[in-house]
This record gives sequence, C-alpha cells and structure tokens, in this order.
Amino acid sequence: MEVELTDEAHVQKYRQSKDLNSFSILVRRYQNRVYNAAYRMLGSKEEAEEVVQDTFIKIHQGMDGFRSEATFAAWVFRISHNLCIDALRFKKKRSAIQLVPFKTRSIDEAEGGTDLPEADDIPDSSLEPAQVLDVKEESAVLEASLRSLPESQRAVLVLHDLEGFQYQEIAEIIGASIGTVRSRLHYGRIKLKEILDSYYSSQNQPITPR
Amino acid sequence: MNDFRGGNCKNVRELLSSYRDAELDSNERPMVEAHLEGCADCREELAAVEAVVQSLKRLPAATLSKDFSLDIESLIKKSEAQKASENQTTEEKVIPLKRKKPVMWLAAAAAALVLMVGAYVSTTGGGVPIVATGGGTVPQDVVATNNSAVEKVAVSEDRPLVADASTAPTPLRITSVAGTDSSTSSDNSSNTTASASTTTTAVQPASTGESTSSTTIAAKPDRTSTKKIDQISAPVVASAVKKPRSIEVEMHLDDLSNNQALVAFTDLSDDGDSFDNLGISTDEDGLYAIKM
Repeated sequence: MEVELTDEAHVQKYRQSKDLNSFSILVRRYQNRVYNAAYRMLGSKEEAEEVVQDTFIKIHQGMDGFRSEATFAAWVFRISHNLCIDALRFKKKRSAIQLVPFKTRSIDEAEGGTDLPEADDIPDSSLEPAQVLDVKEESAVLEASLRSLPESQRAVLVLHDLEGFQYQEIAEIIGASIGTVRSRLHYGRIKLKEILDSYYSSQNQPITPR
Repeated sequence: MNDFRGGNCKNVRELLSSYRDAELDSNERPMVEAHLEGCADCREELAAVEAVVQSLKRLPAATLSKDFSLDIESLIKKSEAQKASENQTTEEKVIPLKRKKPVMWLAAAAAALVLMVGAYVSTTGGGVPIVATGGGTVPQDVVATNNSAVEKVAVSEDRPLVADASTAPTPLRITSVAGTDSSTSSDNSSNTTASASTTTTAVQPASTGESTSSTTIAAKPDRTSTKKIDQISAPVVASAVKKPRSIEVEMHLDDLSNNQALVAFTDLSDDGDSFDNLGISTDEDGLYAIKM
C-alpha cells in the first residue's frame, strides 16, 4: 500500500519537478476546508469561492517561499484568513457608502420607481433572506449567531472549533499571541452562548448540551 | 466569589475554554481542576462552554460546488496573464518626466521681477556700479546716457566683460538694482562671472547716493571713454543700440554681504541666442543667475 505523502513532502516535490499534479493534490486536500472557513467568516458562497481561488493562486505564487517552520496547513489558512479580512473590510466600506433613500416610494413610483433599496427593506443583521427563513433550524441559528460575533472572535472559533487548529497554529494564522487566541476563543464562546440563550429563551427553547 | 483551592472563580473561568481544549500548562491545569471540584458555578460554566463547542462541531461543513484542482492549471495561467497585464498597464501609466522647453512666460516673469525690484530699489536709493563695455577681450569704454545726456564710462580691465559688444555688437539693456555697498567682487573664474568681477574691479564704484533715475549705457564700438563708471548713479540701464535685442541684467545687493552680488540675466530677444553671441550660456529657460 502506497504511503500518502505529507503536505510538506508535496511542496518539496512540486518545487523540484514543477509538476502541477503535486500542487493539485494539495488543492484537493484543502479547498473544502478553506471554503468552509471562508464561508463561516463571510456568509457568502460566492465570496468564499473567490477566497478559495485567490488563496491557491497566492500559494502557487509563493511555493518557493514557503518555510517549513510553520505547517503547510497554517500557511494556507493564514493566506485565506487575510483574504477574508480584506473581503470583510471591503464589504464594510461598500456598505458605508450605500445610498439609502427614506420613504420616497410614492414619489419614485410616480416617476417610474428606483432600484435602490429603502431603509426599511434592509435587515438589521447580515443574514441573507434564505437564512432568515431558516432561522428556526439550529444550524441556521448558530450560523447567524456566529456571524454576529466580532470578526476577531469569529475567526478563532472557526479555526479551532470548526477546523481543529491548535492555539499555537491559530496564533500563527492570525498573527497574534497565544494569550490573545486563548482570550478571544473563551469570550467568543461565552458571547455565542449568550446569543443562543437569548434566542432560545425567546423561543422557550434554552440551549442544552446534547 | 468563592475562593477554592488554586484560585477564584473569575480567574478560573477565563481558563475554562483552555482547560476544555487541553491548552493549559502544567501549573494552570491542576489549579483549575482543584477549583472545579468545589465550585458548581464554574462546572456549570464549563458545561455551557462544552455545549457551545459541540453545537459548532455539529454545523454541517459547507462544500464547494466545483473542484478547483481540476482546472488549477488554467487558473494559474489566467492569473499569470492577468498579473503580466497589470504590470504592463502599470508601466504604461508611468509618464516620463520631460524637461520643459524654454517658456516665454518664465522669461517674462523674470523680466517683470527685475523691473519691479529695480523700481523699488531705485526709489529707495543706493548707488550701484554697472558696467557694459564695447570691448572684446579687452574691455573698452562705455558710453553711458542718462536720459538725453551721454555719459562715458571708462573700463580699463583686460579681462572679458559681461557684455562684449565688439565680438557681438548686440544692443544691451542692463537694469541695475541699487545697493549700498559700492565694492563688489567675485572669485569666480568663468567667463561670465569673471567679466562681472572685472567690471567691479575696473570701475571701483563708489556709493553714489540717492538716485531715482535710470542711466542708459551704450556700448560703443569706437571704445571712447569719457567717464568712469563710479560716477554713474544707479540704477543704471545699459543698452547697445545697433540691433533690436535686449538683455536685462539685475544686480541686487541689498541682501548680500559686502563682497557679493546677485546678478540675473534675462534674454528678452526673440531668437533666444543673445547670450551665445555674448559668450554667455543660458539654461533652457533662458534665465541665468550668477552669484558673485
């Protein structure tokens, strides 16, 4: 039985042969993990796919610069994490300058209407319409709650509880100390619990460990 | 807060997630365990943390709708082509800096400045030595006119002068800004500055007191000399009369030390080569300033 090569062995192999098969193996190993983490961070499938694509393009460009001090996985997620942060900042900027007319429907309808959304049409959270409809499902509630966390706490929760990274690796990925990771992870969990409790108490369904 | 063995609730609770994740060091872990044994509140908190973690782990993993590994080659080629295109676009955006051709407005502005300063200083007084000679390599006498009167200025140096009218009998119009210092000199050895030095040295100008009039000095080819320049009141305008060319020369001594003067030449002629004819080179803007 053929022994499966490690990530680092594939990196070395690609460096020597420039054989894209070795690189494709690495893409196959990580693309769904990167996509899942990006989707939990961004809440958009399209944006998450862009992050996956850009992540592997950047990895390919930097294959010769990869150093084995960190794991290949941590390197991949550091790149994708940075791309997610960039995407979130871009979204914030874009939403900050969104034009929102107030109560102009009657005038606009008389003049042929407008494509711009009205203030009342914009949901308070970043939930997509489909997610609002599915909000009664636990996973949807959890997704929405997770997305309402500050992005710094959300990132460590995704990296630890969804992707299984250790504190040291998360510190390398997000560029922070282990103490910061520890703190963000704990208070992120506590905050998430409070959000979930708040939702389920309003539904008379307090969250309980199964 | 209850204080059990190893720490209070507040300190312990901050460590509960790390305890749950087995990320505590060998000192912290026994302390938390000891506290949990006697604190129901903290055990409850730990259970809540565990519930949140388990909820997150139950979240279904989002999966891609396509396999990027299948078309990774085309993806890489596309990105490389895009990168090359971006680099090319960046290069095209770089506009090389070009030095402007001589501009007439700059010469006009310099001339206006010369005239303004001259007018100002001429009303505030101060004698300034100005020399224009008709000599070639040998400085010659200069005929100076003040209004209708003609004054001849004697220059007896053997070095090149500022305005050489014998090799290039270009009419000169020299405007001088009066200064209070009568002795100017220069250590420069270039043709232009040497001529200025020569002028100063030869004339040995004396302070001529208050003057608001302009004196025209005509460079004469016949090299006659009737008057030394130190007798000329400043500001002085010297101009040769044979060709319709003019160059303005400003000498401003107010802000300079005793042995320094600032001289600015402005070529006002259309062809722009007056300085060449005079043996003085100018920059592209037609402006030449010398500190002497």
